[in-house]
Amino acid sequence: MSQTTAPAQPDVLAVAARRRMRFPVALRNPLAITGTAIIVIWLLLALLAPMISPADPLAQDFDRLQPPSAAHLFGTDQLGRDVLSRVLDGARVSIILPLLLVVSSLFVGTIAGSIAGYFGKVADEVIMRIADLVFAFPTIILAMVIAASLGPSLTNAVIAMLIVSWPAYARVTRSLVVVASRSEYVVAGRLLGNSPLTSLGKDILPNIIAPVVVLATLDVGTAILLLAGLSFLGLGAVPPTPDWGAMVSDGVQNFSSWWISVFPGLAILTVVLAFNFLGDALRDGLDPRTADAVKGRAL
Amino acid sequence: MSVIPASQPAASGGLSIRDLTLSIGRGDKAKRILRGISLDIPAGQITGLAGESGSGKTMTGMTVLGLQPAQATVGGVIEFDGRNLLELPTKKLNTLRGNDIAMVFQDPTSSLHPMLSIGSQLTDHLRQHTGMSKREALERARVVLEQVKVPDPAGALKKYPHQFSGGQLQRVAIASAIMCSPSVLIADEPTTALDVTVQAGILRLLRELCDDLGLAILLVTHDLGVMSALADTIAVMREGEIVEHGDRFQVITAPRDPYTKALIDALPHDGSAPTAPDSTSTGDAS
Amino acid sequence: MTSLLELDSVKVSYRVAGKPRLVAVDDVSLSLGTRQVLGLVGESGCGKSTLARAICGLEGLDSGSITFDGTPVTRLGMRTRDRKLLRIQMVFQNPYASLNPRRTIGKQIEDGLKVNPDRSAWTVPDLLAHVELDASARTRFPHQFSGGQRQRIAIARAIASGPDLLVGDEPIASLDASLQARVAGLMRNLALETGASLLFISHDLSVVRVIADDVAVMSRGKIVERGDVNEVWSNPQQPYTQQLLSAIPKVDGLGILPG
Repeated sequence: MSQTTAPAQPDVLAVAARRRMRFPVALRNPLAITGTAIIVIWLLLALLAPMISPADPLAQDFDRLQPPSAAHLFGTDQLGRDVLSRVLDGARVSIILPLLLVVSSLFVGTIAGSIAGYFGKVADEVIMRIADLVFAFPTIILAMVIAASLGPSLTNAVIAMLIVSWPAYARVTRSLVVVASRSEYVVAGRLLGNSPLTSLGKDILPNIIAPVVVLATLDVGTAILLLAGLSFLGLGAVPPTPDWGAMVSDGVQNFSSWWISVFPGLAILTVVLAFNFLGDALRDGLDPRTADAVKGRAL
Repeated sequence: MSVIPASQPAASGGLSIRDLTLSIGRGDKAKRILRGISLDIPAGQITGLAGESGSGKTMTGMTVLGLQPAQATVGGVIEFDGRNLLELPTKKLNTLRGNDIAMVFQDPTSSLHPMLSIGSQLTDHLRQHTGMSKREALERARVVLEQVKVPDPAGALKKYPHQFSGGQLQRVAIASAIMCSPSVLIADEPTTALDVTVQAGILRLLRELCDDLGLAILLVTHDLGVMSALADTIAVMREGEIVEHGDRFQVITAPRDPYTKALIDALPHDGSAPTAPDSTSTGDAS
Repeated sequence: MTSLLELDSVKVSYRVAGKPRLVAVDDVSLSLGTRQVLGLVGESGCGKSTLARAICGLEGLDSGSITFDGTPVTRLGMRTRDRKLLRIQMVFQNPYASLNPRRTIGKQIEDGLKVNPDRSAWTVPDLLAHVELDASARTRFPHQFSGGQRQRIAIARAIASGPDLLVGDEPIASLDASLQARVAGLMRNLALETGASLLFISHDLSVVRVIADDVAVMSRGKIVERGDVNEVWSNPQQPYTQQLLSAIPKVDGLGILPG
């Protein structure tokens, strides 16, 4: 009985085995595969945009409002810019920014919710009342007000969106933490000397984070739409930065030239749908109650 | 599967198991859970089925109800009312189950819906099967609750499961089981989760129901004290076989099988009953 | 006999919405020596689980005191537990809730080993063998085990920390009936083998009879009788104990209904 530390190997294998068991199961669903494929393609396009764009997205030309043709596959806009190049380049602002936004509100919301749910009392009251305050206003209008008062810029739009979106994560996290912190395994851990923070990190968060992450995946679509909406209203991307929402807005002003708004609109549609597919599949795959049905066997 | 004709037909209302086998898996890897069980469960009697964890006693009860695991291979005959239950189509078996053959389990909370009132839970099944009016069904439910001695039966109909104590809830579960006037009742560890004083009441109730309604009761329990108090005959199971079946007094005081003897010898001598003590867990009789 | 655990006039009550406070534990004094197995029996709602939680610091006391090996037991709030009190460990009722579903069995048992003052007392495979589980269990997750096996794992985790007092709060109540005595026996053997005392709380008198040295009978928040288990069984002094014992069916083959 001399050896107290175990060789790490088997545990690593087990964790790997569990991962293998969970994520592929969630992703084995055809919708999830479609969603993931679309997202990967769009991310690649966004990263490679400068290399594969047929034209400079900012370059203006005299060929204004040209319908789709061999020279301009998606046509040109009111300033004679190539719409295809702008859609490709716009992916950087319109996908990556919302993605970063969701990750940061997930981060902020989870921390705030954990503090409220686990430590309770004053912290709980303060955090949740602020969240209620945000909830009391319609999201888009509040985001508009904040963005407008900060002045139109992408950074300000993202800050406005962060302010309106973290409370949803905080509220979900809080209720999950409240339930989980009463679990016997959390109490058992505390009896074995876990500090409250260790307990939160080791026993509570790993067990509640899956539904929050699923919520975030489903929220990426909403965030893309929200940023597009703010840009559409002139509160997000400042011209001439290509942004899908702003492009749709341009199209509205040139109503007869449908291609200006339809192509960025389709881009928004595919990305939002893809994230929703992925989110739905993750929700079903990570929930132990539906996971067995996903696997196709009822135990 | 060969159908073995029952040599003696089951007494009216009772149930007869002949050479019941059950295995899970196929070929060499098949796990034989039941290895040829034959047992009569006559009307108006409590037939005890004793044994340790894994002996197959619960599986026997489940198979009688048609609730064996889907991947199990079953052989033999379970004769009820002139029919072999193992050959009945699922639909007929579903009707039979709950109407003619009912069940009571260890944990009453798991067999009652937490969000429905006792009144609607007791009457739903009955109304579905008999087309009785809501009022008639509720009246029947009230009578049955009175029969199982739930205090204030009329008030109890409006309550929800969480408003009852464990013992009262088991009475409600028993009421739910006998609503459709079954002739066979399978009771799997019906008192194991209860306090002893409450257990005494439930044992009394089961005896009364057996005597008054002429029910055929299969009592599955590991507790030899409960067995000794309630069962008329006792069958002892071990590793999928019945090693001994006989009159209660004979099995307890003069067991013929060495395994039964070991089980009983392991009890403290003043006659109170510990639950399947360690020393016999290996099952080898000396 | 030096006493390991000393309860002095302990009172615990709860707030119940719209009703007067419910007194769950009412003026209980109790002492438990080293290497002793005390069975605490009583019917549901008698306060025995609240008492167990109070001993582990999970309930605040209205009045009275609990002293463990010279250290007062304080309520475990938002602080790390006092190192001395780590020597009290608990095995919970529901084995499906007492293990973290996302950590391996090995890791969870190691949590116990980390606080054992004698670092070389156990290894994980050792502990698994002692609770009659295969060594391969360490890399697996709780959902891959049955209720009985999970409870053995929970026992192994508690024992891993080298407790001086092991508290079992209805540890066998959720288990398959015919496994209950075996798991209870396992707790007794492991506690005694490691030099710990065991406070075993159960509504199942028959099991307590087999595994405990002493028994305390609890009713309506009070301890009504305490004594050597065989003496209490053969000669119960209090009417409540007599009533409780007479409700246990006898294995005499006579078909006499108890009570």
